[in-house]
Amino acid sequence: MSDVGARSSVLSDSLALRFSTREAMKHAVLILGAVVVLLPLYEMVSYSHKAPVEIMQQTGGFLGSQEPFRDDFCIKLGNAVEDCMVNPIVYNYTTAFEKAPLLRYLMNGVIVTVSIFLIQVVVALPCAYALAKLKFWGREAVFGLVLFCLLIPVHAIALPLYIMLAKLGLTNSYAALIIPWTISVFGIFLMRQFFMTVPDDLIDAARMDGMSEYSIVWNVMLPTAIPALMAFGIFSVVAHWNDYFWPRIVITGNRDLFTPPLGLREFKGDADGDNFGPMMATACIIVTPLIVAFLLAQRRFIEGITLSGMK
Amino acid sequence: MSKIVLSGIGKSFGSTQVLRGIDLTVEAGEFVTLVGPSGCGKSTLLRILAGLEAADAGEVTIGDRDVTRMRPADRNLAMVFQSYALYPHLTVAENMMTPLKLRDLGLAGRLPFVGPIFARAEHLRLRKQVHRTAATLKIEALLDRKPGQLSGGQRQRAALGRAMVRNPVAFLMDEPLSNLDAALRVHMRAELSELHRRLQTTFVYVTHDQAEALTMSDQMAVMMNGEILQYGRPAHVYAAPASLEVAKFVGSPAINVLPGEINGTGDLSVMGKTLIPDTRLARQPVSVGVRPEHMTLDPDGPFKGVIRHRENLGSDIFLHAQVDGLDKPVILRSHPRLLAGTGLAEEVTFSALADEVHVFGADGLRQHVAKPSLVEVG
Amino acid sequence: MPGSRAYLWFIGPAIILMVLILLLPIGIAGALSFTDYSLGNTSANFVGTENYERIFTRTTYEKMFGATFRYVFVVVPLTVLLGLGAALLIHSLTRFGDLYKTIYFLPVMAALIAMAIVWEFAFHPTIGIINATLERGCGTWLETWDWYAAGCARTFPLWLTDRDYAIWTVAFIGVWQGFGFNMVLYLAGLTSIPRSLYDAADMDGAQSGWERFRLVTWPMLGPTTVFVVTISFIRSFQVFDTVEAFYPQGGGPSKSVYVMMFAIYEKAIQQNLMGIGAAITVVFLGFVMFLTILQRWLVERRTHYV
Repeated sequence: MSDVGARSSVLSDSLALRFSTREAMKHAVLILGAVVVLLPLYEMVSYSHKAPVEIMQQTGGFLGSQEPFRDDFCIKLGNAVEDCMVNPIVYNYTTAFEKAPLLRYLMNGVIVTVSIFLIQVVVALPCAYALAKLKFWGREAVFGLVLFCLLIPVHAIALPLYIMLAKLGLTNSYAALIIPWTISVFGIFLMRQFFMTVPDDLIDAARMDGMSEYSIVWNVMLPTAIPALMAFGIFSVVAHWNDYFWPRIVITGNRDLFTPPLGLREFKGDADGDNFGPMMATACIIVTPLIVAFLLAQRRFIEGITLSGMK
Repeated sequence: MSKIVLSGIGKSFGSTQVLRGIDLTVEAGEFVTLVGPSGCGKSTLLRILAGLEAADAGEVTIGDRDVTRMRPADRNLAMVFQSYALYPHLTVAENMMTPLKLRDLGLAGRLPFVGPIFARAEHLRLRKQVHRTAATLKIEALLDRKPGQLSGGQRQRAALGRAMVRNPVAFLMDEPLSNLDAALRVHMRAELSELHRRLQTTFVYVTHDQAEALTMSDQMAVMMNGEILQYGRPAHVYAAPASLEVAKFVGSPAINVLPGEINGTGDLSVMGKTLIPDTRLARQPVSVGVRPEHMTLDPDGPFKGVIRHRENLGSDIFLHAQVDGLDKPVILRSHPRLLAGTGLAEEVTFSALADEVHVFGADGLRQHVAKPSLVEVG
Repeated sequence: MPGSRAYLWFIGPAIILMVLILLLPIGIAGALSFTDYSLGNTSANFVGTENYERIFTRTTYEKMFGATFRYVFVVVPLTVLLGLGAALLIHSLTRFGDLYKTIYFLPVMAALIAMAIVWEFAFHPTIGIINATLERGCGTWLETWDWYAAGCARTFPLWLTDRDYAIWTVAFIGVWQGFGFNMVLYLAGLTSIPRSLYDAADMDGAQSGWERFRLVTWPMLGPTTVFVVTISFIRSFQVFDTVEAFYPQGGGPSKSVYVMMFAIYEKAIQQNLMGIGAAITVVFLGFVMFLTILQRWLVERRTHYV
């Protein structure tokens, strides 16, 4: 036996004071990190409230001093100076909506993300059910196909997809924005894992009750899969709301079809210093819905991300 | 070897008080069991002894040292967990090396790849120790396997090996057999007892299974609601339970509890039939406990019942008899040969062995009966 | 139900879509990579391996690989380590853990294009907050650091427009955006480690946090780490938003930020050179698929079942 007496020490963990130095240091590090993490978001909100001169010179505190400033563009149009004094917040946000059809872009965002999700569910759910619960010739092969397709990130094959769509004349359309995302092998995989935990007896009981297979999918499997579906839905909506690359490729001329990220980018395209405020306002508007939803439904969001890790 | 003394141990989790003033002395080399239903605090007490939890009040002494504030590793105790807690990424041999390495090697010796080079002699010595322990437990063949490749019983031995290899002052075991199937459990009970006899180290064992406690321990502590209700030799706890709760917990099938009464002259009667005259106890209502094996079918017996249920275990038969005035059936033990004819719905008469009758007062505590020197009272 | 053909309807759409949207394009990319096709041409001319030769010899593409690998091999280790560090810190806190988790996850939720624009402004050499803050430190003890003193004397780096700093600045933004995601994955992994393993480590004599980490935490996080690393690799290979937002033409100061996805975009979409775009796509796919297969194989080998 080794010499035990020589090394007695305090049970530091369980006897620690509430505000021990260790906890304090951890918090210090995390707070520092939080500052770096939140910096751009802070700036974004702050600039969206400020007048151009304040933006340029980094003055005005968080929300800007809200002094009316001179709108040069309005003067160019020939109005008198007094008519062209505007309040920064009002100016920024109204310009955001006027200079480009921001509402339209937001609506596009909603249309596209919701459509994608709905179609993904319609395609993936039955397939997952069949792979999990039905026995048929070629099941292993189909699942193998799913596994193989999991290796392919859709962004990687954007180019050939673009060519295919161009040949079909489908560029610059909702179809182009939605179609490549309709097949979510990740969704199939996730739902299959989930369905495999549903007891076979439940399905047999439904069959005894006379339900058709089709009915089983939507009336029996769907309700049990709600948590996984919600998580998947969140994952999908976030990814496609924020997607910049694919819409950039596929929407080449028709501004009416811009999704929110494209709308913001376009703003930047013809922005000079004066339009930074409205651009930030646009950014706020685009970013806010997801962040609010996230704050309200944190658990589900994080569950969604973690479920993707439970491969 | 050292004596272990726990005095005045108290512990609360939030507003629930889990341990209330526990005093316990474990003599060196004893096999002591902490037994009780779920939630009685036995695991918490064990963890406090190990150093994994800190007590809110009280002291822990090992030998002549107060270890209350010491880290687990410094107390020189070893623990076998219910889930075995073997490191899944290490082989059995490496699992067993871990406590030795952490304790005996300096920083250089512990480095992942170069360690064995720096401290070559040390490593060889430790490895020999591992092999010796593995030989004692007959797990040499398993040394190169990982826990995931072992069966339940093998993992149990590997966990034991990891505990044994450091020659601790005492082994602490937290329900180590509860994850095994019934047959293996019975086998392991014998093995653990054998191991204890061979090593002669102190064992502190926690379980909810009173059969394990009865068969393996030198001393058993029956715990309920954070208190030790009785501490003593298993045979004594069985034969002379200190309270009604202890009597009901220890022994299977459970003891029969019958309502009784001591009258003005000290006669004990149950359901109107006098059982023991002149007990020298005060006049009071009492609960009378009689174990199934102390009830016998007796044509002249004072009690009458109708057989509602028979359990033939091969070696014993247990009859459940419905008696007028009692909610629960009275259970009698007998031998298949004697009861060949007795069937369901038959009316039987039986009596209780007066020597083996336990009397408990209204507070649940044992009352000592002045035993008359007689046999059955009919 | 034996004999029921319902399953065909169930798997049909999925299979058709998988073939059309995922498999067929790979084939097309492969085929096109051997041609000089441009959209609008009626036919494609076979040019053999010319496109591939160009990719592996011309300096432009050398810069493409350089930029991509620099980005990937900075972003992946940093996001994994920071994600792990943040997860460990937050997991061990008694209070406010959820608050920090939320804060660190926000960048993942916010549209990268929006954040990129804000960062671009923050990194602006004259009116951005980064350099403005650095300026404030001029004249203090910070000037003992050579780099800082040089910056005070002349100007601080131009960051995004600076050939030496551009790729690292873009990488920084990538790390900023991505580590929260890894943090969440690691947090999930940490909560699944059984408590009794830590107890066993305590009993065995593990005294410091580092020993507990090495004996229990890190090995048990093995599968999580493999997943996190793979996901981080794939995401960072696909970087595009920041690059296109900052450098709509040309891929950064002397092409130092000319990453692969941008190269595909520039060659195929902007310059309508589908052939070479397809070739880069094929190379890109090769990398990504190789990495994912590697992950699968590693997980199979190293998963420890408790």
